[in-house]
Amino acid sequence: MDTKKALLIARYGARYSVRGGVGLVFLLLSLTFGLMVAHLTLQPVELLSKQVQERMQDEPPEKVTERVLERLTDEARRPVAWLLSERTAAEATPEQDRRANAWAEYLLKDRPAMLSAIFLILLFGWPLVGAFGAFDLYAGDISSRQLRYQLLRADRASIYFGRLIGTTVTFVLVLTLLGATVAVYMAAKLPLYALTDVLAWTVYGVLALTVVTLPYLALCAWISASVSGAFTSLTVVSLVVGGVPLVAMFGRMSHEAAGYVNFLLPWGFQTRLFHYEPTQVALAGAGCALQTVLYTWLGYRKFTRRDL
Amino acid sequence: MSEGKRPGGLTALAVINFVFGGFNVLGVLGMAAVLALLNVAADAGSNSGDEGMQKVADAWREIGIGLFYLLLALSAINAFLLIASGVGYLKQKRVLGRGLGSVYGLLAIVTAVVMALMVKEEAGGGFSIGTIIGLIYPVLTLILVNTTFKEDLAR
Repeated sequence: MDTKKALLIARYGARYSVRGGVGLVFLLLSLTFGLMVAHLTLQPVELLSKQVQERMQDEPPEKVTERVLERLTDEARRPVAWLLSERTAAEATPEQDRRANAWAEYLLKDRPAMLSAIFLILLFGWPLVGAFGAFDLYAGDISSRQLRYQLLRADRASIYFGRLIGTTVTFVLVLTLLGATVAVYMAAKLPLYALTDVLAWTVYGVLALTVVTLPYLALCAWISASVSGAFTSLTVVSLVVGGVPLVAMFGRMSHEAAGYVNFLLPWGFQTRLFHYEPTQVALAGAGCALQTVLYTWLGYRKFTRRDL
Repeated sequence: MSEGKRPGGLTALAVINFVFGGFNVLGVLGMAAVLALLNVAADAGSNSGDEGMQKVADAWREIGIGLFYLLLALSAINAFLLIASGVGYLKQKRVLGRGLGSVYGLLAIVTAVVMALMVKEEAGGGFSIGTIIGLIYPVLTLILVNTTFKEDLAR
């Protein structure tokens, strides 16, 4: 692989994906989705604070917002603990319950609760949104035979990794922009948490979302390199990314072991990137790295051997 | 480049313009309906019964109904600009596409700023993340028609 050529392709790949339309739709979709999640999470706190403030006019607004948030956090603790529970059977053991409660406590009390909620929702929605940005890495050009012209000047490895790097950089930029917007907004309009806490948790959240994005991107690259046609690629990518958790969920109803299907993608362990135990975070990060390497290798193998 | 094939992104931008233009037309109709309801609420005074509507009417009376008319006019102009520039993107025209597209971007930003700064939250204004969401497309349009698609919109 020629690193210089790969980086050149990465730079132009991101720019031309916007010209081609796919990048444009992804930008619009991802920014709207991310900010909509933040809006839907923060708006109830703002509205409720305003309503309570009208009734308790002698209380300072910051105090009212703090109380509203405290109440909402208390209400949210049980569903969040249920969501994070590691239960394998219908009923969780007391130990599983204790661990789930400790995890919920960490996300809602020890860290800025609103940011934690936004990151958890993004964690589940981002892989599907990301699929829209990466499904056409190679498939469209393979079907239209446009890659022939690039192959005259660059080797297959440079094209494969160049485009993958370009898309990764675009994803990181979008996630950083989203994180910065939410952090600045929260610091300005909902000054409930210390600015350093908000910034630190935002940086961590953006980093965690980036780590989760990598295996999904690698999977998209593999699928896109394997099929001809952008639409076919989009269909297969959407079915795989969205289908894995569905198969696991329905499969578990008849066979408990079917739940392990989730581990084919980061769905099975990605929430642990926000775990309170560093070892769990490290294991989840290692899982993401392993899957990234595996899917990237499979995609590279296919791309370098197939008829272009 | 301008004589060449239209890039897929420009076609996508045109389609999105038509969709958002349609939504804006619906928004203008909605605002006209709200205006009629505000007049009814104002006529009924404090006996209208609908507390929410009365609050909105009071808020607009305080802000000044003239601003409502201004926002209605801005929304109507934005709807026209979105649809007209969408046609311009498809035909790859400099004035109709890039020119009106840029005017739309600037005007939509001005509308969002007016709504955030001058209209109270009770009247549907104020600054929230919704305001930032509303700014995504105008800002993207401004950037794209003046950089990425600048050469394509030159006929």
